[in-house]
Amino acid sequence: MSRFILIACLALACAHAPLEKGAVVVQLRQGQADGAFAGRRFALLVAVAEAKDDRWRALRFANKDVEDLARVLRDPQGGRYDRVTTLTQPAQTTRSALLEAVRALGAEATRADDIVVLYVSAHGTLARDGRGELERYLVTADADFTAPSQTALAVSELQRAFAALPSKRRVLVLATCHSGGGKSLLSDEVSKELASLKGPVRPLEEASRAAITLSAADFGEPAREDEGLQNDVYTHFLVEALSGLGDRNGDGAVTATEAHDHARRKTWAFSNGRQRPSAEVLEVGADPIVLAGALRREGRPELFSYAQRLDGFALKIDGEERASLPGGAAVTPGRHLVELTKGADLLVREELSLEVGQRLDLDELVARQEPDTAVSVLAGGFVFIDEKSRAEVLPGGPTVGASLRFERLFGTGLAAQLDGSGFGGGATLSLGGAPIPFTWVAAQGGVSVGWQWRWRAGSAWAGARVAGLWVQRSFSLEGYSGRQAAFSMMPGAWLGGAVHLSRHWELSLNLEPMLSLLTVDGAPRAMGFLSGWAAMGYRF
Amino acid sequence: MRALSLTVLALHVAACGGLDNTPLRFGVIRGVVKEPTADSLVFVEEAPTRHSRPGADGRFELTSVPQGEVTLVVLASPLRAERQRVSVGGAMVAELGSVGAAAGVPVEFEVSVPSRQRREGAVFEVAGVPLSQRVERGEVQLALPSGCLPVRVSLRGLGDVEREVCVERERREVRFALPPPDGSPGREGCPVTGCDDGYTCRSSGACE
Repeated sequence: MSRFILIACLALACAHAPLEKGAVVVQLRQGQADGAFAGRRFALLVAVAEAKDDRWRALRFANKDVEDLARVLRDPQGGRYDRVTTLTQPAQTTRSALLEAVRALGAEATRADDIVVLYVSAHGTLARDGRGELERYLVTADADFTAPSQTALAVSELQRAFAALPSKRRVLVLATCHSGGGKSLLSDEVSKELASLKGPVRPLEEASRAAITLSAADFGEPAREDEGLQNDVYTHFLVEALSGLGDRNGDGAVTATEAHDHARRKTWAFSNGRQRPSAEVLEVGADPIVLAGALRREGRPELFSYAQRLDGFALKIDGEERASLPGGAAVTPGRHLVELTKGADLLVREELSLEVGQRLDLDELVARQEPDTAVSVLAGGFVFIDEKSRAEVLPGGPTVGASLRFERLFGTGLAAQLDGSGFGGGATLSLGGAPIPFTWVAAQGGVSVGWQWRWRAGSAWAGARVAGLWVQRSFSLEGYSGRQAAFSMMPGAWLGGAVHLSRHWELSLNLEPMLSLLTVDGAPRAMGFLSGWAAMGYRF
Repeated sequence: MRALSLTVLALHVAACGGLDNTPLRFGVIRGVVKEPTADSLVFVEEAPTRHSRPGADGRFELTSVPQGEVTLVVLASPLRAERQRVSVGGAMVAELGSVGAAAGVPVEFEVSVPSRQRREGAVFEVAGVPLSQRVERGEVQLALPSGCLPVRVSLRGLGDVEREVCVERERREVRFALPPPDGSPGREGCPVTGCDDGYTCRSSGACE
């Protein structure tokens, strides 16, 4: 908005202001004004080819990786970066020098819409940190093989420094690995420890908001240099993507996720599946981080997902596999049959009409197709929390009923539930003498609203609730016969969770602590009331 | 705190109906006094307001008796009286069957009044329960169960006297001397009580 105000002011000044002595007429083209206010692009490219400890063998192509990447980023037809800084000399790539360079980057890239790329090509290693937790380290020029936690640069520390930059469009590319193969070397101790672990180990650090961390290899997989490519494999294909080949949707710009998807797919194929680059991405729906080129037109429709729960699913368009998730694919505008499959499992099959410029998050598509309403039959019980009320009002008893739960209200995590239950039976009161028998009938109807956390296997919720409780007691005794009834509104809490037994069936538990107020012996009495039940529900 | 108060107030406004345990805290005692007389009396010692005079067939019913263990006092006749522990359930009926067959301790109560005033109309109360017997010649024959009971004698115009009377096994005579009139309300003397034949009521309240 401010740029339009400035242009408007300049235009008005030109149109109406008389040319007084000393006044200067400024001819400002639209492109110049845009340039003055567009986010700038900064890159800090680091290659640690050699460490002082020669047990980490020298990386042959680390410096070339940086040079190739710098070239494509500086290219006026490519990355169009305002400033590209390369650090390749040992004195520039010590632990402290690297952190200082990141801080200096923050002094230049001061605006939230500045794009900042930090690329590191180096050895990686693993070691226990000061708290005894396994940590990833970048082997800096001054790293000591015998004491990496004291001398090398922890990835988490680098990420913290990077996250402190004012920019909200940050990309951290780690062309390294920590598996003990390829571009990493582990101490014997850590190697043995890793060998004893079963299954994948992912000490993932928190990704910053609107930031992307791209790794040349997933945890436990080696990142490799290749003689034929004369590069780190992932970096080679990342440079290729930034040179324009990564522009999946043809809009003229290569975004961070497009570049990574291109490099990831090519690396995977080139390494015959031995190297699987990973990404930690937030806010990919907007993906505002343009690494190269510029938006010149609306791109082809894109379908993508970086949600962890869809990892490994294949995206099929019109029956043809187009991408493996995480990742995405661009398609021609029009109607397409979209499928998400994993082996024989079909998660989504829907015909969609896709328009130019549309970006469809497959995770949202999956969520849209998931049932968001559950109708259940329930069985449980209720009880007054305090002993006096149990003795003098009603000891509590079983309930049966039904509930109706609505999820994803307003497209958010809000959920609401309506429920009704009731039951009756016999019980006794204890008023100081012999137990007094009676029969009772109770009914409860409630409305609950809360926040729901959802997973593939189930969900949990917590919120507020208000319910009405009606209780009737009937006495048929020698000394007294009669019916008594009372009604109370009850505010309280709504807690629970559900386990998905199948796509449509669920088993849920609800716990509802509430406050009731009933007139007992002519005086109002506030009593804690606890209702709990299990339910078998059908989701649709 | 204020929010909690408002919540409770709102709940109170929304509440309706009520559960009343009061009738469940009291029970009923039923029984039959053996060979009752017109002067037979049954009462709960801990709650003498719960008393009854049996009918001609001896049946009696005490309602609203506090639940729990209570002592039932039966004054059946001038020779029979007894105490009996009764367990009363809330909203339940304790059926006792026949009571009042046990021999009591005969007690002769005598009322003495000052200066030949008339003593007809004097009333005896045992534990606050008025006996039906009226004093005619200044004497009342009564059997009490062993133990102690408060006895009160009152006569309009001469006030009252109360004393705890304890008996064991032997026959007793108990005299209640009503105080002389002093002109105060309730103790006006002969203007209210009247004088024996041949005596005249003086302004002092005494008969001469």
